[in-house]
Formats: sequence, C-alpha cells, structure tokens
Amino acid sequence: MRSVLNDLTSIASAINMTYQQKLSSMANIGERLVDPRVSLGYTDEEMIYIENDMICDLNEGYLPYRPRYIVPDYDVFVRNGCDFLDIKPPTDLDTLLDGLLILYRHVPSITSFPVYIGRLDQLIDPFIRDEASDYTKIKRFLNHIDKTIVDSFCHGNIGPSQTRAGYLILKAVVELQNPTPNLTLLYDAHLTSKDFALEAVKTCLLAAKPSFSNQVMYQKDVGNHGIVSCYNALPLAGGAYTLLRLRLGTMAKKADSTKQFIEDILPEVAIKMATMMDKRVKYMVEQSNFFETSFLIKEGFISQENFTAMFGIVGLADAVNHLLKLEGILETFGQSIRGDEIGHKILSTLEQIVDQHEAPYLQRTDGHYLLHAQVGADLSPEDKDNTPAHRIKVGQEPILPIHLTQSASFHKYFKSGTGDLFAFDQTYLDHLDALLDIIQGAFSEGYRYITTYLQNSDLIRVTGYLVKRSDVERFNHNQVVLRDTDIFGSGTNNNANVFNRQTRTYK
Amino acid sequence: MNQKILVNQIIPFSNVDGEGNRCSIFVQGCQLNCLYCHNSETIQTCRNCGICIEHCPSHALSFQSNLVIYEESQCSHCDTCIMVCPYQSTPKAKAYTQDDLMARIEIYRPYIRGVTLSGGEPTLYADFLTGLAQKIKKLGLTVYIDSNGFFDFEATSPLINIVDGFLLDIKAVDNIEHLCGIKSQLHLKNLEKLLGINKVIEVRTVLLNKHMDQMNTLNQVVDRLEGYPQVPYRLIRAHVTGLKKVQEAYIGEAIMTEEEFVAYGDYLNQKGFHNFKLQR
Repeated sequence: MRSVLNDLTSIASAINMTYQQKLSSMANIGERLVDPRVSLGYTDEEMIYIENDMICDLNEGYLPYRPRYIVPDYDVFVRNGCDFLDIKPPTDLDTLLDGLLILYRHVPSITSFPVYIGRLDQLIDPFIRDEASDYTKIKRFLNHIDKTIVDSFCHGNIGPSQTRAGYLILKAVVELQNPTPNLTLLYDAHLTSKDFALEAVKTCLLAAKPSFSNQVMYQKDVGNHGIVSCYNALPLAGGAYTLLRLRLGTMAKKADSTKQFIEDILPEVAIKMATMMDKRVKYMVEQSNFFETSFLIKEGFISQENFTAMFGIVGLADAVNHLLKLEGILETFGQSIRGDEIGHKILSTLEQIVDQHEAPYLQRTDGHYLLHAQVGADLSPEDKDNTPAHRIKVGQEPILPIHLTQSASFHKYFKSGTGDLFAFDQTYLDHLDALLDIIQGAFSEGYRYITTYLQNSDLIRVTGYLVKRSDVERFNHNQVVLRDTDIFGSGTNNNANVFNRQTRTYK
Repeated sequence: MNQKILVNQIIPFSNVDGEGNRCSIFVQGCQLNCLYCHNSETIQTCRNCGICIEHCPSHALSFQSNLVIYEESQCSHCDTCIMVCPYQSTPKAKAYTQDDLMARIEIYRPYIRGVTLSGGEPTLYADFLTGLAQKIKKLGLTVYIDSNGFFDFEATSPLINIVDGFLLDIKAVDNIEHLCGIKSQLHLKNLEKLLGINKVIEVRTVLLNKHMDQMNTLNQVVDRLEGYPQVPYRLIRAHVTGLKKVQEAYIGEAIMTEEEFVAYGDYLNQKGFHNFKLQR
C-alpha cells in the first residue's frame, strides 16, 4: 500500500515508539512514497487489487533494495571468518559468539533485522570445552540477541541430532524466557534422540519454543534449508526475494458462488499477484545492485541462485465460511466436510496457477514461486476478515484430534512454510511423552510444523512469532515497547483473538 | 458382531491413563461402590426413572417408550442430570458396538500410543472387550485395562492374554468392605497372578484417612512388588473434586493434607521402596 507524506509526520511524533522503530518505520514509508507504476512498472489493473485489499504486499516498499528474507550459510564464517568485516575464523567459543553477533548486524531483511541466525547448536558444539562456563556464554549470547535484535522474527535452528550445545541452548531458553530469538528443532525421528526431543517438548511448554519442524518433509521439498522468520522454510545460502499474499477472505466477499470464486476471481487476482512479484524480483536482481555489492554474496554466505519467492495466502477459513453460506450450509471451516472440499479446491487451483507461472531468477525452485501459508503481521483492519493461513478461526476449533487431522491435510500445499499452534494445559508438563506422541502423529499425518505453549504463560505465540502478553498490554496502554513484534502482536490479537485459543486439556 | 456395551465416556487424548498419549474408553457399570469414587455416575446402569428429565435445564432429555433418551446436540454439559440421579448413574451413557468404537479409535490412531479401557469396571465386559482389544492390537496400538482387581482370573484369561497390561487398583485390604462394599481379597491374588505373567503396568492406591487401612495396604502392595522393579506404584491423594454432596459430607474430613500424604512417600522411601509416584 502506498504511503503519504503525513505518515512520516505521525511516526516522527508518535508517543509509543522507540527511536529504532521510528527509524525503520520512516524508511519504510519513504520506500512507499514512490509510485510502483513508475518504479516497478505495476499496471493500473494490478494496483486495483492492492487498493481494494485483495492483495496485501505487507508494506514491502516500491524500491526493493534487498531481499525480504536472507538465509546465510554461517558455516562460511566458521571456515573463513569475514573479509569485509575483518574478522578471522573463530578459534574458540568467545570468538565464535562474538563474530556471529557482529555478523548478525550486517544481515539485511525486510525489517532490517536478521531473520535467520543459523543452526546454533551445530555452530556452537565444536567449540564447547567446559559446559559450566560455556553455558554462561551461550546464555549471554542469546540474551544479547533478544535485547539488540528487537524483532522476534529472528530465528535460530537446532537439531536434528542432539548435541551438548543443543541441551545448553534449551536450558538457557527456559531460564531467559525471552521472545527472541525464535527457535525451531529440525525434527527427524531417525536422527533426533527421544531424550533430546522430550527436552525440547518440555522447553516448548515452559518457554513457548522451540517449535518442531518436519525436517524430512522440508528436506524433500526445499532441499537444504533454514527455518526463518515465523516458520518459513527457505533455501540455505539464499532466501526469499519477496512475499505478497492473497487475502482470500476479502476476495470471497465479491463472489456470487463457489464456482465463480474458484474459476474467475481466484485466477484473475492470483495471476496479477504473480506478475507483481515478477517485477519486484526483476528490480532486485537487475536494478538494485544488491547482488553486486553485498559482501554476503562476494564471500559465499549466500548466492543469488539460491533465492526463491513466496506466494502467500491468508483467510482460507473466512473464504470458505463465506462460500458455505452462499451454498446454504450452516457449518464453519474446520468442522465441515464440504468446507474442507472447498478449501482443497481453492488451494489445488492456486497450486496449479502458481506452478504454471514462469517466474524470473528462480533457478533454485525450478522457476516457480512457493506457496506460503502466511499468518499475518499486518495491522490492517482488513485482516479481521482474514484468519491467518489455512487456520481454523479461534472459537470454531474442533477437538484436538479432529483439528490435527483437518489441518494436516492442508500442509502439503505450502512448501515454503505453514504451521499450527496449540495451547496445552499444565498436566502435559508431567506427561511429555504424551505430547511427543501428538507431535509425531501430526508429522505422520503430513504436518510440516507444529508449536505448543502453555495457555497461562506470559510468553505466547501470536501467529508464528513470540511476544510477552505483558509487553502487548503495555503497548495497548500507549507505552513504548522494545520490539516491533510486540506491536504486531497487539494488532493481530485485536484482529484474530489469538490469545484465547482453545486450551487442550487431557479431557 | 452387533453386541453392544454401554460406554460412559470416550476421552480422545488422555495423558493420565498409562504411558504416552492414549484414548480412554470408560465403560458404564461397576460392582464396587467406593466412598471416594469421583465418577460414581459410572456405577449403575440407568433405571429410566426420569428424575433427571425434570431437572435438565437444556431439555436434552425426554421419555420415549418409557426410556430416557438423551439428545447430545441439546446438551450444555452442565452435569445436572448426574448430580440429581439418586442411583449413581447417568442418562448420557451410549451403547456402542465394537465397530462403533473402532471407528472412533481410527480417527485418533495417528496421535495415540494405545487405548486404555477403564470405567466403571471393564472386566465386567471381558468377552466384548477381548474382541475389541484384538481389533485395536491390529492397528499397532497397545491396550491397557484399568481395573479394580476384582475379577475371576480364569474366566477373564482371554482378555488378560490379549492386552498389554493392567493399571491395577489396590484400594484397601482389611477395610475393603467398608471402603468399597465388597468382601473379598481377590484383588491381591489377581495382582500376584498378573505380576507373575508380566502384565502389570502400574499399581495404584488412593489414600484417604480413617476409612481405610493405609499402612497395611501399602505394605501388602510393596511386599508383592518386590522382585518387579519395572512396576511403579502410584499413590493418589483423594480429593473432594468430583464428589457428590453426600459423599463429601461423609468423607470430607478424611481427606489428607498434603503433608500427611507426602509422609506416606517418606515411609516408602524408609522402607527401601523407591519406585513410586505421588499424585497430589
């Protein structure tokens, strides 16, 4: 969405933003003062869908000068150090952690904060000498990240195999109770030991992370990858140029029938979004000079050939609910066989459209965009009618086994990421194996990604990222908060009521 | 097979009825009547007296051909029917065939490690549950029986042989008649027999003051568990939650304080028995 000069004035004088939040906000507004018809060659027909909210460009600017998500291969740093930053290869834990913290400051993204900080346990483990003193260093490192990378889309990975470093990271995560960094265990039943998996389950209940990702499935679909930002699976040593999203809920409001929605509205808007994405990618590769100038490219942390782009959707539940109503069916998505049929029809049609579209500079994914179940990090009131991804609306959730099986059937479409979250009660802390059974069962049914947390904890998953309820509460009372994600958390909860997800008890 | 049994409740995911995530099926009907039973509505089958119909605020209950009919879609799950029932029953129990139950279990199968047959007293339906257990086992799931221990071992052997094990209550020994209304020591004999064939997953005792021989019960169980280090003993503190008012009036003062309860754990430790869990 384009900005106006007045937006700058209101940010400059805002009473509830930090200096850093104002700085990046104003930079983003600046990028959107430009007319994309001029800078990127968007057509009037394409612009209509941004203006009527059917396509949301997540406020990506119209002079895209860096990829949205960057997934550096940090092993390069361990091997070579960094020439540009004049850092030698690490020789011990101190020089490793210090070097990484420096490097993170120089990894761009849509938010200007790094969305991927590496497979932390594998990076750290070779340098572990004395667990007690090394633990203190790891804990300090993680806390440093929380206080300086003030954006909980920042994501670290651990696993699949257990390491001493992996255990120390989990221990620190529980003690710190910080939202950042987000953390994912790359889970592979053949490689992840039961003990490590149970420790991760416990940590997740106590600190709302790590989440569990289906390493086997993602490795098959995306190849070597990192889990970044909310839960995006993106090629390692590459990333994603851009992410736009279809607001299916908004689009469906214009439909007269399910058939008309799927055959007319969906292809029309989806193709417009794909061509806009093409233009963004071309600008980045051909005009921005990012790939010519970044030391990350020159030194082999990333290469342009490893970039893809994400074709997002939100609001499947709202679209299906609307179409069910048009069909005269008094049911809601998540508890309706016809609703599931419509949902699959929408997504398989979209999958076809996206697979047929030839996109530029996308060698890594065979010239095609990857579908993404976007969860919403947008403060737009239009998101009230667009439930995150393919999730069931809060308040319309069926019992857990039905919910798991229903949602599992939709995970297959979203190669660049999807995931569901479930709030559990305290009893599971005494029965970690029961929760691991549920996670393993979800993976066997086709889940890509699953997260749990305790309903009564202060740390909570909004849509994929973490916030503290208390921080969101402060922002709601017009106080300054540290993280941009706390602000998103407030907006998303107001829109989607995510703080009140059904609690799963053992009954 | 069209034979049906009455089922009080099916809990899709339970984390307290044996290891891992399990589906628990609670059958209706029990030959005991324990003072602290917190689901006493599972004890008797419905007499169709109709008292609950008058009290149901959601009009989910009605008489049809002199039978009490329960309409689940109307129910607000307030449990008034259970509270007003003078006969320790419920109008909400439903009859299921083996195939009906299997259809439910199939839905939960990916996420569970097994099924626990509980109640009520599942061994009262040993024939039916033997067939059911055979079908469940074919799905690669384990089957546990949660039993009060009072059953004819020989007659129940087909069920015992097919299932993976028992979660066995030893509710009391000398005071079992006062506590549970049954004059028998069959539960101890069955514990010994089940231990001998490696079919005990866990032994459980609910602890309450005054109405039971706590120390004697603990000693009797622990003596029998000697030689079976893999079998844990779970001590459960009786609570008033879930009790009917009459029960609460009778045993409320006998509920242990947490300190009193934990002392039994200390006693077991002193005795050299450490494989126990305290459920406060």
